[in-house]
Amino acid sequence: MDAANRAALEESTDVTIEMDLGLFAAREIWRHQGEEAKELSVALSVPDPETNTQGLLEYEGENPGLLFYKGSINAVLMRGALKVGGFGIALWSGRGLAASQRAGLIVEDMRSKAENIPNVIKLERIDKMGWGQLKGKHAVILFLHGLLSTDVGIFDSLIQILKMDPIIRDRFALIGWPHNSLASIDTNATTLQRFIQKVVGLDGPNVAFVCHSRGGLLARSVAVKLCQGEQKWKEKWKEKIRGCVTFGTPHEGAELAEMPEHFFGTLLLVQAWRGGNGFASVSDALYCSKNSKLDGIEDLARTDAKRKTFLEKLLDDEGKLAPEGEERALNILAVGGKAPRVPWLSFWINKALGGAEHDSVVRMESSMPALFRQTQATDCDHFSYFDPKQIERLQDQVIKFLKDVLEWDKAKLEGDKTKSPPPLDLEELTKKIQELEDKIPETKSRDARAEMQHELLTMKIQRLREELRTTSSDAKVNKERELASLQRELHELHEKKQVHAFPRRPARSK
Amino acid sequence: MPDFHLMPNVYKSGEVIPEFQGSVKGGLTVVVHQWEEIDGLRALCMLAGNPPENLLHAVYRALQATPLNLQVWEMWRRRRAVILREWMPPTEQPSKSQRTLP
Repeated sequence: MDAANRAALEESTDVTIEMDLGLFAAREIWRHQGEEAKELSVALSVPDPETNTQGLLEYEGENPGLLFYKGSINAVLMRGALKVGGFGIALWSGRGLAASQRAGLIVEDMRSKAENIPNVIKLERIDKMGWGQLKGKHAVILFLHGLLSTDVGIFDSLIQILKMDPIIRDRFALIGWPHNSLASIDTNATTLQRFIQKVVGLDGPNVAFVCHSRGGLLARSVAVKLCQGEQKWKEKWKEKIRGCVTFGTPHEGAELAEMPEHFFGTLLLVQAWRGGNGFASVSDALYCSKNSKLDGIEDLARTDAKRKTFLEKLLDDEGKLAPEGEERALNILAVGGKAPRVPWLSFWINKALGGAEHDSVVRMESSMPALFRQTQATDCDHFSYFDPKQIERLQDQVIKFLKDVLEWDKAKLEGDKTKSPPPLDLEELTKKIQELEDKIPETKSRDARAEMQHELLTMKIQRLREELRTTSSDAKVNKERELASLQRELHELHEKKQVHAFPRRPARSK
Repeated sequence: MPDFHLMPNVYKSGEVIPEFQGSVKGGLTVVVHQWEEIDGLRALCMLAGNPPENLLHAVYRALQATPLNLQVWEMWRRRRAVILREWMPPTEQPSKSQRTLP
């Protein structure tokens, strides 16, 4: 074979692989979209060899889409006009009427969709609460979601564990706040500040935040805003805002955020591939991006030659309010993940993030900065921090942190003084368990059976807990064992319900 | 045999693409509406060219077929794989590195 033929052959092979990778990525993302898959379409554009010798394709349209990088499982958000060389593979949203008919308030739409997922924990939301609704509560734990997601569904495993503690269940308020994460963090923080001032107030309970990703920066920003008022309020708010647990928060920025369209594309791609409750579908995310600037992503940038970044400003403000020798007033426990290797995807993500240790979106050096006093590493990707297995591993440290900052012991004392939670009617509970046990084998639908199984396990755990309170120490050991086994079973049930993001390849026959 | 209910839409350069509410200038755009159809597109891209000709030209040519039937391409890819497996001695079967994505 002569040199020219060999070069042509190599070039053709490269193009085949590049096309195949792009189409494969588009297919896998699309496949995981469930009901909303019908709103999407994929387009392959190839230049006309006769009239377009340069091989340049010019895209111009109103519908936003994801354009897949050539030769990579990665994508960039495409809005308006874009020029591409060679060929282009795009995933568009908004085919047909569904997207245009969708409610303008996508934040509400996403939340109500998440609420409809079976067995999801319905969080109260701070923006729908009024003054005085937290009366009698010792503390508030506010859950803040990250980019392109909502507050319901994501934190379920952690909430479930927190609610197992009777003091937390009765004396603490667990609330969420769904917000538009593509707006600037500053805008979100100003709104949240007003809600906290209105609902919690200066005489209300103490506050701690549990945050995923960008939510951590929002919590830091709110804490600063609340403490920036007049001197007398400032000190009170400093005492009231007690701490923050962050999961995969880019405390020191995310380098891809310097190119928001690329960050959006990559995040959406990994998120869509990974699946899970509470995260925006591709269709929703693209719809959000249609009429929105990407300020919420730009705020994650570490540096900007043109202006002072949000992070630089935040650090300055925190420094002004911090006690001597500290970086900030707010106590933070920062959890960072190292993503396990996943075939195909890991290679491209590593390429995008320069091979550093990361959770597929945020580098560990940013999610758990060296200067932070309390950090915890784990091995999961950006969307798996709240998987039952991860929470099982992290729960001790997270709960200890929350109990410390929120003075759980004091709440316990207060609770003892006022009233203990009403005892459960064990007879009634046993009757319900029996009924459910009889009903499960007769139920034909697999989903309904799984739901009933979940309810049954929860009731059994409740009964055992109640029994443990009144049992002598000898019998306690067995009951505790039984409780642990039931909890494990419940976790397994939860896990089964998770979307299998990376389908296993069938075993190769020999 | 894959079951596609919709045929792909093919748009010439500059034509209005309703799915995009816009257009693509400079080439041909084929739009598929079900994720299963991508398998047909992948098969077309994989099998259209005859090396050492320019593969993009070959794909362009294949996409111009009217009507464009991606099912046939996917079927051909599957049949080809089966035939190769059945007729090739084990030593000549493609190695792991030569295989394409799953």
